[in-house]
Amino acid sequence: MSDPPYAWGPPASSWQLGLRATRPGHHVELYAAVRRTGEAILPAGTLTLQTRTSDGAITEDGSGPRPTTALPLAETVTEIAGWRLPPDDGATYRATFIVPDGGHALESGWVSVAESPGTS
Amino acid sequence: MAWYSSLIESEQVSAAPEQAGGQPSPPAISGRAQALFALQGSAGNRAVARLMEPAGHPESEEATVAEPEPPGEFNELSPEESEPMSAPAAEPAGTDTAAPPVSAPSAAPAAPFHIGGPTGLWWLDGFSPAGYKTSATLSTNTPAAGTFAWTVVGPLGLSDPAVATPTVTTTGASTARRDAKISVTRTAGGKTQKASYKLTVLAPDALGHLRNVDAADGAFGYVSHVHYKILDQFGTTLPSAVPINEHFTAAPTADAAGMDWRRGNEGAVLAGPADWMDVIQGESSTHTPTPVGPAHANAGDAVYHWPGEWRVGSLSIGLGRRVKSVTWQKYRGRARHT
Repeated sequence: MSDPPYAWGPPASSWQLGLRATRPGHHVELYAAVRRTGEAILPAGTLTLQTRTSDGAITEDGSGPRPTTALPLAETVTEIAGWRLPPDDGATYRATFIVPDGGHALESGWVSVAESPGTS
Repeated sequence: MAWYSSLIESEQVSAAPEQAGGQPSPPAISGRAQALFALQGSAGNRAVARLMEPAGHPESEEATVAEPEPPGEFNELSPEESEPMSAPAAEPAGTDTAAPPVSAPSAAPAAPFHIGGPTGLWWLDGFSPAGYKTSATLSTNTPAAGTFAWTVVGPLGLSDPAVATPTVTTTGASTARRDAKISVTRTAGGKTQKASYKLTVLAPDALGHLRNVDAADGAFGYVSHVHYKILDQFGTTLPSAVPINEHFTAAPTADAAGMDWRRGNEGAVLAGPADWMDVIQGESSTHTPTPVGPAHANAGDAVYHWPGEWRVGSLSIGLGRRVKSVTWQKYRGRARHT
């Protein structure tokens, strides 16, 4: 089976972070997933969505629901977060996941709606 | 207290501890003159059954079970409901006391006709996140030959009531424990067998507020963490990580003159149900009114608010089972759900 259509970032520790984008209607939907290469416990961390607009400016949104505890993940690839945004032509997106103790600093690849394999 | 004298081992029917992904609990012993309960184990997990015949000795209660069983492998039935190769009989009124038929002590052990199926399932408005079983294959301890007639009561649906191993799928949530029932009648060789058991369909139902934590934030003035646990309809915390999403149902309403604070995106996360949080930030200092830290004298000045809801079962915004409606209220120095 092929991997889901995520833009994966570089591996760090036992994990990789991926992001995919879709535009099912009047919104952009983004979904972040982790792919484990080792241990099955995902530590609690700070999850942020970065938006890079067509003029190059980058904004960060760290708001929204977040886990506060480590999560056991049975699957190799697990979707862990989602966002719904107003459409912004030319914008690209990246997710980051940082564990407070500095043990992990995961970044996904940048995605745009137009380029995402998951576009619908 | 009573003395229970007779003891047998069996791998058959069950007084099932109810579970739908959680931990089993020992069944209660009724006051019936003769009661039996047992656990039916899954493959490689032998079960022990104990036949109890009160004989007036108060010292002993042998009403223990062998060991906890994995979820989804138990069922239960009453003696009237399990009639191995018997003539068709009227279905009795449901009873909470599980008591399979008792064989004569000298008779060769024969497994009573029974159903293999889950003792609990979940309903998340049609979603099936990992760890939350919403459907299962039913079976009996007989060959597939013969005719089968399956029926369900409560928030359950069947793929095909006339096959040996149909799939049962949840269609809603239980309103009382064990208010769902699965029954089967098998006819083969001119004889009829019947069995049935009860189960509970659990569902995420509410958020239990745990605490609010406010802290100063260099970029946005403050950040507030609103902590919750996720509960089922009977007040028990869900057993494993589950997707939850926030959905804003109207535009913000300003509470302060000249307010130009922005609202964040709607979000979703895979949350640990015992403690997760909504992270709510203030605003950058170029906006009106200027955000302040949580300890500031004006931290409680209202800025704006908007309504919305929390749904469990999906990372897609607005989908899943609604567990709470809230108003997001942002102040100059903190934020709350009201």
